[in-house]
Amino acid sequence: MSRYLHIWLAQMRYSLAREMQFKGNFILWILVEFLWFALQLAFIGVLYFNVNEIAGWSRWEMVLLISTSHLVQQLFQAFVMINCMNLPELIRTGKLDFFLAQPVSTRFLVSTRSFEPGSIVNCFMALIVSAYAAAKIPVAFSVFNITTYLLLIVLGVLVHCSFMMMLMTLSFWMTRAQGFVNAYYNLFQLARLPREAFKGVAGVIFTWFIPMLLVANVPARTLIDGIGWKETGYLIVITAVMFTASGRFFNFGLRHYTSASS
Amino acid sequence: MTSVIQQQAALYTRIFSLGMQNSLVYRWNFLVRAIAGFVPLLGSVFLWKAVFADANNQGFAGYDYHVMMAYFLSLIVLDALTSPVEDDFAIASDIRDGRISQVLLKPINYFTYRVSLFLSSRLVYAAVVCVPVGAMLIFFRDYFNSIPMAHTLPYALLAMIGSAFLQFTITYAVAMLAFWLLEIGSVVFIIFSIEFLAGGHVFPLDVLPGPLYAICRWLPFAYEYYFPVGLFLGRIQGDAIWQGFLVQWAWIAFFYLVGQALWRRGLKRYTSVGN
Repeated sequence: MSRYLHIWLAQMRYSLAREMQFKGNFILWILVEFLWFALQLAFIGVLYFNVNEIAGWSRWEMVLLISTSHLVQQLFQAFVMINCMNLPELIRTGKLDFFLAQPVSTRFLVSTRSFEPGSIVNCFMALIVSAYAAAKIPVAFSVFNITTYLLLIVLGVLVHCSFMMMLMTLSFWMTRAQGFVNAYYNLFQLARLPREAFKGVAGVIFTWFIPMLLVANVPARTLIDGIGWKETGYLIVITAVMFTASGRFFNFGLRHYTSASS
Repeated sequence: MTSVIQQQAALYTRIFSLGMQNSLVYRWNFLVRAIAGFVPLLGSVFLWKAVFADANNQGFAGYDYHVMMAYFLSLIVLDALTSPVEDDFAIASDIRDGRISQVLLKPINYFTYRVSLFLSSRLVYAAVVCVPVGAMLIFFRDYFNSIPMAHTLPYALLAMIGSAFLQFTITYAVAMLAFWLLEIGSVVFIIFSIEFLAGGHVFPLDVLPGPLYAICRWLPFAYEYYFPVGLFLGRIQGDAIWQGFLVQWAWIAFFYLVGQALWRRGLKRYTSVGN
């Protein structure tokens, strides 16, 4: 375990050093993410010009939901997403060979190799907006509900990790899985919507099977109303199931890896 | 003179056809992209349903639920037909990797070359996605019932052509920054976010308070999305139609000239090594 931690920290140090070579670019990307976040908040602002409540969520509750979703997304982007995106290229070019030859878990190396420090800055922005929105609602802050909120956010990040890893594992069979990366950005857009708004089959699919409507909704609701055991319990179970399944699927895909001649 | 024009036409038709073949290689990618594009639509459908439920059916800034849905569905069609897909990154990598040298050595105009490739990729994209988008339109056809299409469609189609050129000239001008910057991705996404918000991709611009809406109407972005869709829905009427077309083409001319000026300046500092 400590060996893995050691490797992870070393990879993060390396990524940080690499990012700092292009400082201007680093700052611009932080600005990009910040603008998209601001765009979401502006949209909500426009909606609440005309209504007081959407699917039972008041203005500040909605801001909390959006910033929570942003926090989950930025944590995911900081630590995992870029690595998932690189997987098809590693497979196509045969560079995955180098990972296979290392005496550690291939899945671990593949999913933690790069780290995006810029996203961490955006996490802090999301946290500040979350805290402000929570104070406006107002939420009764306690050590217990803040800890639960943060733990649930970690679960949300793990759901994204597992699901995207499963999608990208398909690139062992398809040479170009780039379309899935764009597809994933579209899924993020569902995560920041109130789950009460979704009805019918779509609601069932995106809550219980592809739990995008839980990753931000559950932590935000928990902070507002206290812990809801049913949703929280389900989120824990589905995270465990998806995490295990994505690992199995990755190993299964790995057996179909044929490398590429260079 | 005629033969020169004929030669030029034959040249760019050839580029157009090559571009089409090249785009066809990525047809599955196009399809995944188009289908994934329905996910946010699904989100919009449910979110707006909830918004209208909470507005107690009093409407939302002059929109009813059906017209609002028609707005977002029309945007999907507009995107499928007009939005440049990664043209900016392709142009930037042409410049960065020195591939424009091949164009410079031939009697080819790079802008027209790129326009040909843009149009060909749009044609292939439209052909690939016409089935899912068509199915979507049929499924949601009720939302379009109240729109006086016979009257509005000709204007909307004209504005759509303008929108395609405006989107392309903006993309081209931004991609020219590759002469100065190593990586244009961040600038592309910054402009993209402004286009989305101020162009009416996130919500129709006429739900904004008056002064904000007035500002947006003078900016180029409204003429990429809001103007053609607003015309189609019949939300833009009277003199505003002709004013809109004038402003749209003025911005196209502006970004064309900016793109050309940047190209000329960029070429002065362009060095190609080892090609």
